[in-house]
Amino acid sequence: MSQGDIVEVKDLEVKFYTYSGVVEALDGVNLFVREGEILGLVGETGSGKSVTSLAIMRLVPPPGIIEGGRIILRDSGKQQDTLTMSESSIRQIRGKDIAMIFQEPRAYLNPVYSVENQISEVMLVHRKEELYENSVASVQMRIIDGRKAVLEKQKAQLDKEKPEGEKEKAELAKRREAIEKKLGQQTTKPPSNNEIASYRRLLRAERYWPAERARQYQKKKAKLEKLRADVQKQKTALEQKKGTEGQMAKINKQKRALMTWSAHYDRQYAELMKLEPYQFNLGRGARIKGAIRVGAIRFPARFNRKRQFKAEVQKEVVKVLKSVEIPDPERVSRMYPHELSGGMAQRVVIAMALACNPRLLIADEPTTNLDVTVQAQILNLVKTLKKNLGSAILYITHDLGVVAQSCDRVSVMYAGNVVETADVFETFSNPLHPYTRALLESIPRPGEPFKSIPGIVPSLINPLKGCRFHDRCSYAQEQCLTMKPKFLEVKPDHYVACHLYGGS
Amino acid sequence: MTSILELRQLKKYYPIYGGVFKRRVASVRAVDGVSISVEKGECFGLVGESGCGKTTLGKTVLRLLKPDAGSIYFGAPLDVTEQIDRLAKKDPRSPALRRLRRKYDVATYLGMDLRRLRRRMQIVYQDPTTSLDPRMLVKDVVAESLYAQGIAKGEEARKMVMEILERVGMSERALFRFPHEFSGGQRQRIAIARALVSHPEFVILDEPTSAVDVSVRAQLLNLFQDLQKEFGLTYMFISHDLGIVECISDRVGIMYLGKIVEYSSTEQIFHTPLHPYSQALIASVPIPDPTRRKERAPLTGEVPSPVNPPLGCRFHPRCPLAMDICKKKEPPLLDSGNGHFVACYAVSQSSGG
Repeated sequence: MSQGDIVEVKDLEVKFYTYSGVVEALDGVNLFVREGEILGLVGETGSGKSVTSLAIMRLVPPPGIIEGGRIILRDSGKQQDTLTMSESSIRQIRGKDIAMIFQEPRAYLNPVYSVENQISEVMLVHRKEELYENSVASVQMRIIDGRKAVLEKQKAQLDKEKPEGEKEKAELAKRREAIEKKLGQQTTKPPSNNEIASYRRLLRAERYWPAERARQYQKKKAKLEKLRADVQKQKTALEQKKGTEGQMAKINKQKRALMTWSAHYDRQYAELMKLEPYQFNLGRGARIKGAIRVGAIRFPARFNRKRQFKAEVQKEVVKVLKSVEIPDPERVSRMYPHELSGGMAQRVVIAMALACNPRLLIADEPTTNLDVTVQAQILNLVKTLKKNLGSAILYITHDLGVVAQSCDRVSVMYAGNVVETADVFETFSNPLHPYTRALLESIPRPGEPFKSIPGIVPSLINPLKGCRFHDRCSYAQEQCLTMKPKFLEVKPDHYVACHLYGGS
Repeated sequence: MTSILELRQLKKYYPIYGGVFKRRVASVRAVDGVSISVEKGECFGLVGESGCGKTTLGKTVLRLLKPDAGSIYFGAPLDVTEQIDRLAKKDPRSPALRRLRRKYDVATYLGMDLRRLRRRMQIVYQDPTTSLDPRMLVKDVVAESLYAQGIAKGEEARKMVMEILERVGMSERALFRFPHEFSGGQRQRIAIARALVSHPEFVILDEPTSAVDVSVRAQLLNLFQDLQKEFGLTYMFISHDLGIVECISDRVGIMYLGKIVEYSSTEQIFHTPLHPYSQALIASVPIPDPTRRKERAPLTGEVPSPVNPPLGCRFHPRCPLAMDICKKKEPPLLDSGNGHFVACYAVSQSSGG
């Protein structure tokens, strides 16, 4: 145990009180995870790998009971024993300092909530304040920008005005000074109703802007003139036409229609001529391009803090999804678990675990149900995450290939005990414990007969006395039957629990 | 060597029903034109990712599923299959061809023919917890096929059950117990005993070791090899664990999206894989040696849906060597020498084809 350890598990004992007897699932487990490393936890089914990880999270399900031992969590010099903590304080740690990835991503994801919903849940539990502050800050920035934009606009309008008398000049200067003063002292206070009203007034004034009216006036005038000229032309054309009686009747009908149109246009034109250009009515709902927005920012007429906060959480979810290399994270965040493939679902679960930047990530067989090609992708992802985030990873697996490819150190478990812990290169080149050796020999190699470990994994109800491996061990001595070997450091950084190496 | 099993363009589509009248709207092309031959006495490994149709192929060969197209010749003499091929080329509707296929093509079998066939072919499933009836005693589980096939009954059947159970390493005490009383490895032994009690010639092993532990796995694999020698069995070993397949198989076929992309002897497949998918698959296997670490995943993306497989070569969207022709035409499975069959344009072009 050194200062670099994030978690140290010491003599952990867990028992399950079942109807068929007491299952001694963990019998003095010793384990430690260092900062920024991947520790592989290897063992067969029922060796207690998952129970160890659940005990670290203090999630051992009933009828399991943690009977003894210590789990020390070290956080910047502070030490905490998670086993003596209150339930409320362990909840502060779960998901935030220690996060977990489970084996079956589909069983772990809730089918009726979207990906975004489920990832944001973790964030809302542990990072609510931080996210809220972020959202408030971004709202404040927008308020200030909006307010500044309005003031700038007002100032620009003042600049356009040309005062005549001394008195008006002085008043204008005064108003400009007031605006400049306001511009200088911007607060993050949300806009008052008065402020919003004055902003609306400003917009309305712009909408009925005289220049725009004049422009529309001229446009209308030109249009009417063209129409009138058209009608006139058609009229003269009709008058020149001659034909039989029937044709003449038709022409006369057309003439009468043209007369009504001509009268209509004349009336409209006369009405327009009565107005001055700036008096032209733009009509309801008329819009002038660029006038609604002030600068690039729409002044926040109303604030929905909730909506703003939600947007902030969404942004964070997308960021986390992007960090686990999910293509098109915005779309995926709106999907439901059944729409995801196995590899994708596992990535989402990893994203969920990473949502709070945990210091220790427990991965419980995260690639067991995945295909080899996807497994290779996930393993790479885990390795890059370790590099980028610097968090420690406890990687539980039974696949020695995965261990060799991705772990820094290996702990081998057998029947509720950690029997050997060493560097990964040391473990594969120089295994000491007979079980570790047998495990490594059972890897199938082409051209060689399959080597198996004789016997079966023992039942943990009434387990063997002494070393629990002694009935399958070819080196078993007398003391192995009676005395449990101690977990000792036999070489620098190489721990073994075996009587062969002085464990008695 | 004579071939015991010949598949010709075998297809199995699962229908997808939809719409108001629950009409067939699409199909999952689980097995889409597979042609392989399995030789007598060998272990043929079938490898592929989940959803590529390995298990469907196995079940279709056993006629647990009815194939949609193609032929299965089981134990048919070589001259007969050749004659059928000749006839099919000349006139696919000739009565002579139909007669021959009725007799030799398992895909056309019905009723008693199928029953008789089942004696000769058996299967061991992946998960013994679900494949063994929890309400039957072990003696009944194992003897069931003897009764059903009418091979033996009474004292004789009991003797046969005892013999085979002993052979797979179970003791007499197991007879009057239920499957749940055994560990995973023992249950798988019972399943093996059940498959072998009627002395079949051909056994499909559908991921038989993926539900058991490492130490037990080696025991089972040894058992498979011993039994093969003793009974002269032919195996089709379906697995996604390439490490095991490399050790146990004589020849290996690699499947991708319902198609065999490459098949050859184990050594050729694992040492000189030709198809880019096989290369990526073999490179993805984590090597249990920390000094040989791989830095990058060889493949990106995931297997596309078999409902709408990509046009042309099914691997082209993920293939590093994809050419224009791969997007348009499906590459045929061609021999590139030494019985090494590959379905890839890049390979057939580089070898001067």
